[in-house]
Amino acid sequence: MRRALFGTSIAALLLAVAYLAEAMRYPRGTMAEPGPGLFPLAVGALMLIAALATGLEARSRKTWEEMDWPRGSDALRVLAVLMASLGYVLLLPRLGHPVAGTLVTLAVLQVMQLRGWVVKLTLSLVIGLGSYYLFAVLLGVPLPTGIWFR
Amino acid sequence: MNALDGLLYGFSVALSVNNVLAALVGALVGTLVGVLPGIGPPGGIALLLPITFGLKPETALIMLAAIYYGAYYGGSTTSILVNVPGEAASVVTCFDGYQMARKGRAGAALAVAAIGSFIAGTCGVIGLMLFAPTLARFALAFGPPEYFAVALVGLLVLSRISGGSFWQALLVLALGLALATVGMEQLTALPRYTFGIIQLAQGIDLVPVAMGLFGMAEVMIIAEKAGGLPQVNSVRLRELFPTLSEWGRAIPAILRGSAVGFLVGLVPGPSATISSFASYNLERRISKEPHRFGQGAIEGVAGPEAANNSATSAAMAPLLALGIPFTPATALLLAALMVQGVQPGPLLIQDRPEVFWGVVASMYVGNAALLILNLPLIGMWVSLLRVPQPIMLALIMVFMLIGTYSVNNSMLDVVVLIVMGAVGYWLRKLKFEVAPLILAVVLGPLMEKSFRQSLFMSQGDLWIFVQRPVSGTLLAVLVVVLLAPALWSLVARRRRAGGNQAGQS
Repeated sequence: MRRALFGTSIAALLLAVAYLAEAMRYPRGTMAEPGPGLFPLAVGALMLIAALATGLEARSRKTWEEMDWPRGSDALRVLAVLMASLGYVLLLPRLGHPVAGTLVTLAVLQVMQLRGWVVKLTLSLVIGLGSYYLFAVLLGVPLPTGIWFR
Repeated sequence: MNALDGLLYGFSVALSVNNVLAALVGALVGTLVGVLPGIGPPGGIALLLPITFGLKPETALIMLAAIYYGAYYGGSTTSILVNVPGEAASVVTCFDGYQMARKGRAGAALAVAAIGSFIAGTCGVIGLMLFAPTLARFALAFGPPEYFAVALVGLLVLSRISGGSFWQALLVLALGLALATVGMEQLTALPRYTFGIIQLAQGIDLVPVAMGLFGMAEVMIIAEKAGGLPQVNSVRLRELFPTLSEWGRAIPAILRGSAVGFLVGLVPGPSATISSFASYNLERRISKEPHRFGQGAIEGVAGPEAANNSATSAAMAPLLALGIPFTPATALLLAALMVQGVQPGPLLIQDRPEVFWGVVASMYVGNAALLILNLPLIGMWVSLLRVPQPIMLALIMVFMLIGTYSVNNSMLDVVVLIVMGAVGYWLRKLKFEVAPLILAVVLGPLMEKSFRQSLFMSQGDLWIFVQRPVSGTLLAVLVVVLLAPALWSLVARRRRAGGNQAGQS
């Protein structure tokens, strides 16, 4: 856990520096007439101090619990869920929600090891099309329909 | 309008067919969110938020508030039957609730949890009804320095008491404030941190951030620990009656829990969770048989369950009276009101009485509905726990993706959801508390605006925050809260050193 926390504090430190560098570009004004750059400077400074303190805390603490880090197939499942979500982002504008929603459901059911292709396909269609019906038809949300209805 | 007139008016709003239906749907969804371990009240509200956009403001808030307090009713079910808390505030209920279930008293535990939640929820609403208008009248005199002080105190107190390292909480808080600065600046419309991406000019919406940190991160955790179905104890309707002696022990605990919950609920932080732990400790401390706690003591179920429900009512007070949320779930309720064009704050009771009193009255209706739904339908809630995990996970994920997209019809929001999901997963692995991040995203713009307005008012003199009575008092309280742990440990060390010296001499 110590190494992960230390790495996080370094990443946060870099983020704080980048955030502060961008904040310097905005007009700061004066104390009597503060500009839009003043608050981001304060936020960046807070992030910098908190990141430094977290890093120092990580270095100085003596007892650490074991980090509950996923391994093997557990880690793959987490990654697959993330990839399926990203796949939805790529597919939604092109294929529309009914298809993208069905595919992402199928991917999750497959990753989570639900058995039987007929069950998986049926459930994917029900969830993909059902969610489209709920949001687009019943609630009137304009969802992308993709290339099918152009 | 006095409290009684207001309540009567509120009932005329809350008892319309649409609003009763909204309270019922909210109560059902809330119970579902509570029963299913994982998603939690903020995730549940965020998930259902897009569905409320077409509704009237009071109907939308009635439904979302019912999800909020309904989740705490449902949370006890999984704690008692499966020994897995439905949400964080039900962790304590596992201690004695599950032990009662193992001894064949699951029905009694469930009944006491539901009835305790009902009594506490009702007491909490009475407290809210009496307290919020007074707070709103007081807040009418608030200017920018007071709003800045309330927001600052809320965020820092939350960081101090939300558990874990203070510096880690501050880091998460700073990240939230940084996200809040993305987009067009409020006073000069200067685009900040947009890097030429036009969609970012609108800023980062709260819904994808909350849904990512709470919902998506939880989906990833569930995916990681994929396993078989939990062993669920079944409960028959006739088993739902506690004995007279159980009632005798539970009722005082429920009343004490209601009071503890309401007081803790007014403080910024994860009030429902803290109040349930506080109530459990109180019950154990005043019990004549403290050894029974952890072995199936009914007071250990009644008190905490009452406390977490009462805390949810109390947490509505700062939201409705000041327009400032102190918990992630109330932050989402604020977002829902803003989408509807309603600005919560001291003028809400006066300008939009149908929203304020309608929501208050609906909480009586919702609490009664929850009691009716929870006990007779316990079999249905239990069977939900037997739905295979992959199906539940796929359903939640698709709803999250489509729900996030539908808030602003923006793909950028879906990307934010996924990124925040990954960030939330990582932070949870490292035991960071994510609540300060959500509140910072909501309170950041208010803090910045009121800070700058205060400096304009005082011609750049920072003493304005100290000189004004309300902001000065709040900042003094903040100093005490921040320094108290250090001072306390110093005093304890001195005492120990003094004791050792006395022992040696």
